[in-house]
Amino acid sequence: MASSKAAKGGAQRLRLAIQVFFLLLVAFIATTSALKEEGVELPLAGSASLHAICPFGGVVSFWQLASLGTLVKKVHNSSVVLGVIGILLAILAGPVICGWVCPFGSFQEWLGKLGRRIFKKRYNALVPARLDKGLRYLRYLMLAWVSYMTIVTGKLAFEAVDPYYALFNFWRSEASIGGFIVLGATILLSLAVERPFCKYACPYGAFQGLFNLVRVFGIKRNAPTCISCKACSRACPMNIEVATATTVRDHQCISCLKCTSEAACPVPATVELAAGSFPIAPPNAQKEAAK
Amino acid sequence: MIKLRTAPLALLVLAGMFGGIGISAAFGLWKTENTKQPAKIREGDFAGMPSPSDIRGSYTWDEVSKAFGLPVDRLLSAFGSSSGSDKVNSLEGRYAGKLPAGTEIGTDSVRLFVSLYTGLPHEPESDTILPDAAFPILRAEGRAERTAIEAAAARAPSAPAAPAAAKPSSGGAAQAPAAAEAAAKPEPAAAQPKAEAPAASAAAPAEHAPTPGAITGKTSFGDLESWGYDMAKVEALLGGRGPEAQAIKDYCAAKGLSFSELKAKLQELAPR
Repeated sequence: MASSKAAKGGAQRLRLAIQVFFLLLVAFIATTSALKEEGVELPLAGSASLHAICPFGGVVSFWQLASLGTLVKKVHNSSVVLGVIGILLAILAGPVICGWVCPFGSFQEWLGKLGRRIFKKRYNALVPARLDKGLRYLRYLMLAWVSYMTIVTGKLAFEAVDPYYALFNFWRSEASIGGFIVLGATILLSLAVERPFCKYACPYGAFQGLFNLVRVFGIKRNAPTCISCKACSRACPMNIEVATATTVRDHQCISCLKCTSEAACPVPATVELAAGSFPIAPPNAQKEAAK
Repeated sequence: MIKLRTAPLALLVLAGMFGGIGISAAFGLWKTENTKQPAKIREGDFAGMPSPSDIRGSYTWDEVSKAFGLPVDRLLSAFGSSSGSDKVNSLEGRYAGKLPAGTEIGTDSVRLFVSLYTGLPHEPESDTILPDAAFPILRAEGRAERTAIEAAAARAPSAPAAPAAAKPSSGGAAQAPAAAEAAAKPEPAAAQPKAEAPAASAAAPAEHAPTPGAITGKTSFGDLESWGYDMAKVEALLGGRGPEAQAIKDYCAAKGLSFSELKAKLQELAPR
């Protein structure tokens, strides 16, 4: 049992390590780029700016690239490459960029640990369900607005309210006031709701979330072995009812694997990230698995 | 059923990200900086030629010169810059508040100049003008129709030559003569100074007092405040207010407002 718990913890620690790695990488790139503009060049520092490594910049450039052959201002080829990589990964395994790579998502997640101490069991359950459900579609409005404005103006419309940019440039005057306001609101809300910006406002999360409908590897629940303890639903940072689904198609899933049998689910091989269906096992085998 | 556990998924994420970057780099697609190569014109007689409309503020004069095969000293002379390594967007700061209302010398001016010099098409913004020093060069060497050059000159009756006159450099050998020519032999439409908004040559930058209340595409909220505008009225007109450094034009674009319409209304709010 102890080794099983250790293994479960190890799976999420591996994810944490990758999140930390990408956060440090992005922080390093943002800092060296900013220092370079100030005339200070650090060893090992490349030429990339924060805009150059933002996959969403690539996504909102697709239209201009296809119609005019040019990129939106401040967007670089590398953003388009990352945008395409993000799409391919999402088709395969869902929005892993959100759950594993995005430093702003990780930042909110870690703030949430503090919130969990404050609100205990009420954490991430404070917003009334009906309101919460409606608010989750706000990010699609944001995606539509940002896409439209970027197409019309040829500029990064999201920059004016981008908390991600503000987070990594908080020490400079470069970031917009709107970005700082949204960042401040996100920090506060993260103490009560897990990943509030991801849930309600992130346009890139909205875009990535669409691939949950078609992804190859999905979160699957094996109903015959499920003991209906709802541990999977409680573990989900995005409040998805995994316990009632056979395949999670919710547009908010971020492929964090917290619900799976490697983490929250107490029954082996019952909640898995997988392609295809669970094999039909004889009734006795199902009971054994449930024990 | 094929399962994907945490460790393989972690590998997939890392391999996908860095493998994708590696593959794109192998094909020459991974570029974290702009190539400074403007997009090609797609249709018409000039198809395949670089488009002046795609000149960005982040280009240097040298890069504009290289992209369009245009001598850099002509650019430096026309815009009164001293070094080919200066960025085009340096014009914004140099001319801010120094031009009459409704006019602007910035990146779009460079696009217009390149268009008139090379004969390549570009549709300038309504408030775009050129410095006086540009017109002797365009009249002598411009490949655009003479009428187009004179039309540009007519739109810039009070555009001053570069106010920040930097010291002449080796690349700017033609700067002094060109600016001097503009000042000494002013063309009737382009360089004839108006009484209320006198033009000046690069040699007389001190004559340029800022023109309070002159709203251009580069005018920021901070500019309005420093000019003594009643910011409450400005906010009421614009339905809000952006950061101090934000250009009104960018704010309007972000809010879906028509800058050209609001510009005139803002002008009416100018402190008397």
